[in-house]
Amino acid sequence: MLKGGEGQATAGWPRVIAHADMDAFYASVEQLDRPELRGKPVIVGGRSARGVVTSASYEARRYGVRAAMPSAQARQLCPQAVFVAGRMGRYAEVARTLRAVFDEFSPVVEPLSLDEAFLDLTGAERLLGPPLVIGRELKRAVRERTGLVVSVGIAPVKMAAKILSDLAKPDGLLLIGPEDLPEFLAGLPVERLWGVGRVTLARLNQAGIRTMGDLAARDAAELRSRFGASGAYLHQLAQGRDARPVVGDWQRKSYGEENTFAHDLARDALALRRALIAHSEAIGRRLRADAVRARTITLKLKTARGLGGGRYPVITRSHTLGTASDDTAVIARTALALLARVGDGDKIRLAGIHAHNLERRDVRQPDLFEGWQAASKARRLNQALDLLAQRFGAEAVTRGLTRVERAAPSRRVK
Amino acid sequence: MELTLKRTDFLAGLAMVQGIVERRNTVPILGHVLMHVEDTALKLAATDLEVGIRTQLPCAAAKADAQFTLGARKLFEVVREAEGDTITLKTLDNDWIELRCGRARFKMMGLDPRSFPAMPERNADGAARRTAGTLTLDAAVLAQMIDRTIFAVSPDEARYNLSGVYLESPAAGAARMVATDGHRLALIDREAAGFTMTGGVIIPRKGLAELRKLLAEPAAETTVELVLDGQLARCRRGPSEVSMRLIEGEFPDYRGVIPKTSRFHIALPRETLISTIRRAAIFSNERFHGVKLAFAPGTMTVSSTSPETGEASETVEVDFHGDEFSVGFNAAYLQQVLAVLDDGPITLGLTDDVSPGVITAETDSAFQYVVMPMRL
Repeated sequence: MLKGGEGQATAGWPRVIAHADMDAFYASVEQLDRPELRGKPVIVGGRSARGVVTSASYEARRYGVRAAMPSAQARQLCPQAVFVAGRMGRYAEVARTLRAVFDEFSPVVEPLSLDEAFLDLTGAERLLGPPLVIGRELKRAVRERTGLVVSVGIAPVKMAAKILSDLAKPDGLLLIGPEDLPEFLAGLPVERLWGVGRVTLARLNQAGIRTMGDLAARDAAELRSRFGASGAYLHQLAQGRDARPVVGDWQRKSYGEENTFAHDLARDALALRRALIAHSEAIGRRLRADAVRARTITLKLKTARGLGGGRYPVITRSHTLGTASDDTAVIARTALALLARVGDGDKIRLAGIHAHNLERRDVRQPDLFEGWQAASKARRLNQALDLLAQRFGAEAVTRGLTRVERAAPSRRVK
Repeated sequence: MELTLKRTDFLAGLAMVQGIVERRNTVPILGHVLMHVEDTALKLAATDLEVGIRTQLPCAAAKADAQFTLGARKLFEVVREAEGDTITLKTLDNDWIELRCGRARFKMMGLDPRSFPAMPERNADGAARRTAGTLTLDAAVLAQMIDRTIFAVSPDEARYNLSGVYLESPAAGAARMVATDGHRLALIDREAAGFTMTGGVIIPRKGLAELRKLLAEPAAETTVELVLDGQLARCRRGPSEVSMRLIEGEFPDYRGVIPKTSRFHIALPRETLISTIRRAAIFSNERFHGVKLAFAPGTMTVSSTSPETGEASETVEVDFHGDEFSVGFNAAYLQQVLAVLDDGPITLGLTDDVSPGVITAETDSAFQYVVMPMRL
């Protein structure tokens, strides 16, 4: 199934897309920084009653420990594991180096999280060589600059590249060309597809669909009538058709941060407001780093009373600002005002903020009014705090009320 | 009902309302012109809800007092392409209209005239009407005030408080217009006998542009009155009137961004500056239009470079004494202001590469233009 090598390796490829994903990222950073942890099962995550595993080293995974597993369960599976609280500032620092490496390989990089990204390598052959060579080079550069291991999948479509990087783990590189793609996909279980969660999987299985091949062989109209528009979409994916382009992050549509609390919080809880301020800071920082501003701020809350099946009611409230902003204080004020509008009710399990309706900030043409007026104060404060965070980690200096529970770090969702 | 019009009159009236009718077809009636036959006049009205235009022309009608609407663009095309001196309109059933002109005959479908929206001529109930006043000026003077500010209005709808020209009375008997897009700012003062107003108003760009067109129309009277009334403004000239809804919002404190002093004052003829910048800008970046002004004792060098296409530079002699320095500007921001000024000496007031520059003209001492440098 592996192809590539010399010459016009990508003739017939509509696009060349790489998905690079760090192996056990947080745990690997801990093992990198603390040599005594190397070769040992390391679990990064919260130890509180509701803590979850954020990242597990390969040594720990051998015992069945997985990310997103309750910490208590992980401890049962692997009692000798070393539990480490996450150091987001440090991970972000490594992620920045990682991003710089990615940027050297492609002008269009779409980060999915701190430690994984799509790279559009279409046309890169002329400059950097055939895809397999680029992949090897990328792995080498990441290892050299961060000391960490990345797995890479290369395919003509996003969906396949992501599956490949996952199959390549640990420390692997896999490539599939367009002609081999349908056959390769056909053998994979259908839950490998993006968008197939527990509920969809159960329904697909009920319909006798277990592999992507099963799905691809079905009649599109039948799938549509049975599963709606998503049925037709999954059918396309299963056939290896995925038109989604790699979207560079300046073209992204929104920024989001959210976290699940260790204990459900009352709607007027101080900790809830603190979390929102921390999310605002994280979003503001990312907006500023990317030189964009957001006009619309959305507050997202999940209430504690479940609907069953692991689902919870979601409340969202949005506000559109008069002018787009990248100021933490503006985002936080807006989010807190939205929270006040939500009113009383069930306790809150999860809180998040999303910033969308993005505008590109013109970095070359400064604004007449900003240089002179109050806005400049906020801008200078943001700049100073961003600089401190860059140097000492995101939690070195925080605004009033922002210390969120460590068990539940602000999690980037978009 | 049947009426007969002079084709050229009709064409002129329809031309006047073209700018206002909605291009997009989201609300069909906004693409229509409302016509009302009253005695021996045909009254035309068009609006996009924010700006409205009324005009009228003489006609001979068989039966007066009829109302109907027609799509403004198609009607304009028909009248423009038609032959002959007169056009005859005849109302048919179900809002259909027949037009006859020369040998040609057209049939157009109108909409129910009763569904035509109200013109922006009425304040909302209970609206605060603190800003009210009447600005009486020579039409040419008002036109110049508009010309020297409107180009600096922000095209960004999101910055709604900058999407119009600010008008205020800085002192009794004086009128001031200010426009800015956040990167540059134009300010003009003129004497305006009898004009006083508490606070200022923001006149939307589109309405002001229509007003500017109106001022260019030939008319018997030389002065015009711009009436400001709460949320509205209107101006009549000859048989036509423009009305508009003002922008509700706070205009930024523009006084704070006008430098009180500049370190260097460099004077040079307008024509020299225009042609030098035009040549230098050929190789400026398409998106940012940046040009560099580099000063050394006795000279100014205007240059642009583009890594992909090439570079240009031109040195002119100027009266500059001081340490060498250079500053970058968006060439378009310089060209646009120079285009609306009269020939004569222009002064560049500059301090360094990050402070706003000030452009003034000897031919208009009551005009100021402030422009923020860009990083090149």
